[in-house]
Amino acid sequence: MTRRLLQLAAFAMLVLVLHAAPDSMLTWDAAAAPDAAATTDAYGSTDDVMLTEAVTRSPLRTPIIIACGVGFIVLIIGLVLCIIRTLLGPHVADRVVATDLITIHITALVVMLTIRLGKTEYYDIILVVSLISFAATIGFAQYIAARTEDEASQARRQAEHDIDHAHDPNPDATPTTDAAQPHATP
Amino acid sequence: MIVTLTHFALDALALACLVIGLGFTLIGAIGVLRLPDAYHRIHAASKCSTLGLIGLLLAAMLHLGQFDGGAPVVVKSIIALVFACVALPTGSHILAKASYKDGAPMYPPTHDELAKDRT
Repeated sequence: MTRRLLQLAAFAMLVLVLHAAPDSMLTWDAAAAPDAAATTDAYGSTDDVMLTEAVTRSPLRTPIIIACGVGFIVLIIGLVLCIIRTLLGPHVADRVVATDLITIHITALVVMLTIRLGKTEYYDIILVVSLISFAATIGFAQYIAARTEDEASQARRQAEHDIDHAHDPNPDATPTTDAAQPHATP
Repeated sequence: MIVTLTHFALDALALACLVIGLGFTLIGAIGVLRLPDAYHRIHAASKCSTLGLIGLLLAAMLHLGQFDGGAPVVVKSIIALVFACVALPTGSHILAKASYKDGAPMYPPTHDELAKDRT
């Protein structure tokens, strides 16, 4: 019961914080930004500033901003659900799946942030996070499979040992033939 | 910028893709929390997250790609889209195979057709 209450409190705090965030943090004020001449780099590129100014004059900009505001809350709710599954998950595969989905939610959050701000600077994150997520999933799957193979080979060796020494007066003696091969070839 | 019908249509399409992607992502997250065993959760996570990510990337591509300076978004969206279409189902398949090999507990009504192959 206390655990449930703690989960609910953390969830409510997250929703409140992120509900208050869009006004203060997520507004890209083109007037307050440094002017284009100041932000040009060594190559004279002003692409991002131009993109921001063009996006603000897009015809359906207001509904898209509203959809982004709803989408932040939706993605944060999904993120909290995935974190709860990561903490609860009875099996390792549950935790790995939930962690994979957390990275996908982070990717989706970056995409929403790019749409909301009209700036392309954060968009590289999605490629990096996708690659790391894929590598982590493959690695954890290999770990789960390898752990199983180790346990299965140990159980098989134990069974062979039990069969071989069923009538042995000294059952605690270490098997000499099996100990020569500590790891079974997969 | 003159508001043309093309910009309006692209923005409407982007809005539709955004809503569809968000809906699929939320359904996937709810499924990961609520479904009974690991295989159901892998099923929910792989399909819904792939479709949700495709929707969001298409929305970013359609909305930001119509302006000057939006070309990097389009290129990175296409790369991420192709990678997501390849990597997410592959990772889920490998993970499901590994968890079946590990003997993850199954929801009791499941009919395991591969059970006779297991020793």
